[in-house]
Amino acid sequence: MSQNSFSEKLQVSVGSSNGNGASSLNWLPTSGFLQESQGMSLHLKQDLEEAYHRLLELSGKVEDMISKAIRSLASRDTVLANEVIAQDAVVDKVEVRIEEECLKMLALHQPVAADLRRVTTMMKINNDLEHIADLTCNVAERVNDLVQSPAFPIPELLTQMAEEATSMVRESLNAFVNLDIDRAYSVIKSDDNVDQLNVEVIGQLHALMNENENWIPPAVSCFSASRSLEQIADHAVNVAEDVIYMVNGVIVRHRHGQAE
Amino acid sequence: MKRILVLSLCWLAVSVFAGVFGARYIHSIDTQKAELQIERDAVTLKQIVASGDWGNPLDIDPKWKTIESDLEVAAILVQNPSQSSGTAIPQTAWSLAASNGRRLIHSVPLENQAQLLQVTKVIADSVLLRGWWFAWLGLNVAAIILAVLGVRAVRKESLHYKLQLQPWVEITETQVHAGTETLLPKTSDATGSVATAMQRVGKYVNRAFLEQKAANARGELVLGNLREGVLAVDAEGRVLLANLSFCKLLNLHQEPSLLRPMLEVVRIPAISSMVKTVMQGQKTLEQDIELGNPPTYLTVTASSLPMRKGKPGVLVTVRDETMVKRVELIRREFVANASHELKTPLAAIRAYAESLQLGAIDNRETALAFVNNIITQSDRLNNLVQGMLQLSRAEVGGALNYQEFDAIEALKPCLGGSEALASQKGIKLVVETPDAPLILESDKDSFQTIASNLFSNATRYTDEGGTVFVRLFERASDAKEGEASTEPQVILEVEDTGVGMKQEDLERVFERFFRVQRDRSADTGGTGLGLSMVKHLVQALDGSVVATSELGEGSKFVVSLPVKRKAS
Repeated sequence: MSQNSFSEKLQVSVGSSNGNGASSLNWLPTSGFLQESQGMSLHLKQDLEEAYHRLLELSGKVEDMISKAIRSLASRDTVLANEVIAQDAVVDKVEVRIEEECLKMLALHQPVAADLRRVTTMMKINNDLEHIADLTCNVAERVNDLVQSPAFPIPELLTQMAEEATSMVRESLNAFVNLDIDRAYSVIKSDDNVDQLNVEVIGQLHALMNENENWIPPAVSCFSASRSLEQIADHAVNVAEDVIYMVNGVIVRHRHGQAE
Repeated sequence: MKRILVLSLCWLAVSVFAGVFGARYIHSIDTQKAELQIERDAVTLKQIVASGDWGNPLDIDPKWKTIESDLEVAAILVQNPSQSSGTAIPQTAWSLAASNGRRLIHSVPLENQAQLLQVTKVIADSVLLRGWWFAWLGLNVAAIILAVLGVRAVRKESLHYKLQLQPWVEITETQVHAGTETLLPKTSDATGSVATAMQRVGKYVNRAFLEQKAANARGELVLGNLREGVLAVDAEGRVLLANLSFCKLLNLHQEPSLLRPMLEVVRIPAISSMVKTVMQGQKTLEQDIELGNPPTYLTVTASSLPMRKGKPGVLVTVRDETMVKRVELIRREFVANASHELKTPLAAIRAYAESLQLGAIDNRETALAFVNNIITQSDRLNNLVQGMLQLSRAEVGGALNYQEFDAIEALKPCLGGSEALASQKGIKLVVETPDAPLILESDKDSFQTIASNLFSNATRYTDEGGTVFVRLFERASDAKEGEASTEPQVILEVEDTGVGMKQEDLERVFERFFRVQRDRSADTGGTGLGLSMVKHLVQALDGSVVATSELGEGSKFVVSLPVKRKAS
């Protein structure tokens, strides 16, 4: 075994020394999030690890939901949309469970400093993920309305916005698992883009509504979906801010301009 | 350091032991010598006493007589042996004995038996003993000095080696990373042989290292360029390997992923649940998943990965099935479309025939109309079958009859078919051709099929009062600098001001039976095979066809064919 790990290390050091981009193997000592802090008790570590894994699973589920919801919106696929809506109940259950675990950790182990930040960050991200899941269901529900008027042209910008929001959620979670502040800041930055897109989409929807009376109900649905997407992006920003808090211990909320 | 201490302690013990024993030995020799001497002295004294030199032996005072320089002898006649005392010995002798000598007493009985001649001798410490101790001390001092000097010399030497060897280690370190042979500086002293040895060892290490590196690079290259995504996870759920395709297919960031928890790297519920199931003892799992928008269809296989030691991990492979799905969709649509196209005229023919059977045959005028309709529909059916046959021939790239012909002349009959429909719909047909004949070496029939298909499409999908432009011209080979010279081409452009189509439809317009709008065929009467045929024929003739279109503005098809047949 020792020989094995040695060769791995060797191989890794080779990969990093010549800076070869093709090598996907680079050395990184396991998870950044679970790195032990001083005096961390074994029980706390185990609990933290369990909750963390559960949170990661939840985030995967939520990402999957968003991607499915957007696909259903693009193809007006009600089956897929209903699948997304059904998943929300599971997400709710997991969210409650993670919160309970975090509260238990706070009560039992009374963590301090970095560990406290870890637990609180997990609670916050958990909360944000649940909100994102709810908003995703909103989007999926709008698909059911939109199928009523198949001729209604869904603005292309809405798809673009959906993609942007999805990638923001993914990037914020990537920032979380890598504890990558730069990524978190770039997520916060791209929120302006989504807001801008939202305004443009609403403008287009207004034009459509003026054009044809029959398009008012689907346009309102689209409007709602657009708003939900915008809020999803906001929650992605929240996650990114939580990551910054967790790493730096600085609360950057409400002051994006100066935080850099 | 410890060894030096032990060594010096040993030395100390040995030297003290040797010194003491040597001294005792010298002492005993001295004593023996003194005893012999005192016996000789006693004999001399006895003779003196006997000769009466001392007068009355009883009156003899203690008298010192120096026999040799360093030994002084005192003799006393003791009347009563039990009363012997040495008090009569002069002070000088005593002090001498006390400071650096010993006292030896030897008693000799005289002839008269009543008297005892007691000879006392003071023996000074011998020069030999003193010499011995001096020698011992000198030896020890010399040894200490030598030891100190030796240690200092060794220290200096080792420091020298250390200084000399340190850069070698650095050189080796940097050069092994760079993968080059290590060359150590040549030195004349003892380090030279070390350098040679090190160099040889370094050579072997280097070779082994480079081989290992190459093997790793090969493995990584193969895995990285595999089209299938591969992910290996150990029993603790940590990533052992994730290749490039895996990251690409699942749209993951190319983060360093080694030994990180899989959940951090791959947050796809379907895959993590599969990994979990396989870890719990399932042998192999396969699942199709859809990801992203537009969706990519992936087939994920998870199987147990036996490790050299410990519990087995999981090997996940991901295959992209998007193309397969699309091809399947096209095939399904083709079958549905073909049967639909064939069914429509057949149903019409059957309806007319039934009407005739039910009595319409008696009414001559109606019957004639019906029969005409039957003929029209069967013509349409025939066209369709012909088209399909032609298309399959074109797809196979069957026998093409290359010959030289005038493209302008060849174009004229093709226009004829469409002109009727065009004038009927009030469409203006604008034909622009060069004045000089345009000689083309190609298959004339194929060229005409291409042209007439494009014309009929253009007129069919243009509303009344529109315009169809037909342009035929030759583009000379434009050999620009730095670019590969292109062959001279004959360009056929057909542009209309018709309905046009959406960008996404444009991509599929060359598919068989594809129609922009499903309900269009009824009023335009196309077979849905025309453009597909155009594409295949153009390809068979080594040309190319490009379609551009704007919804509601019209479409433009540009066919370019090589003027000369490509030498195969």
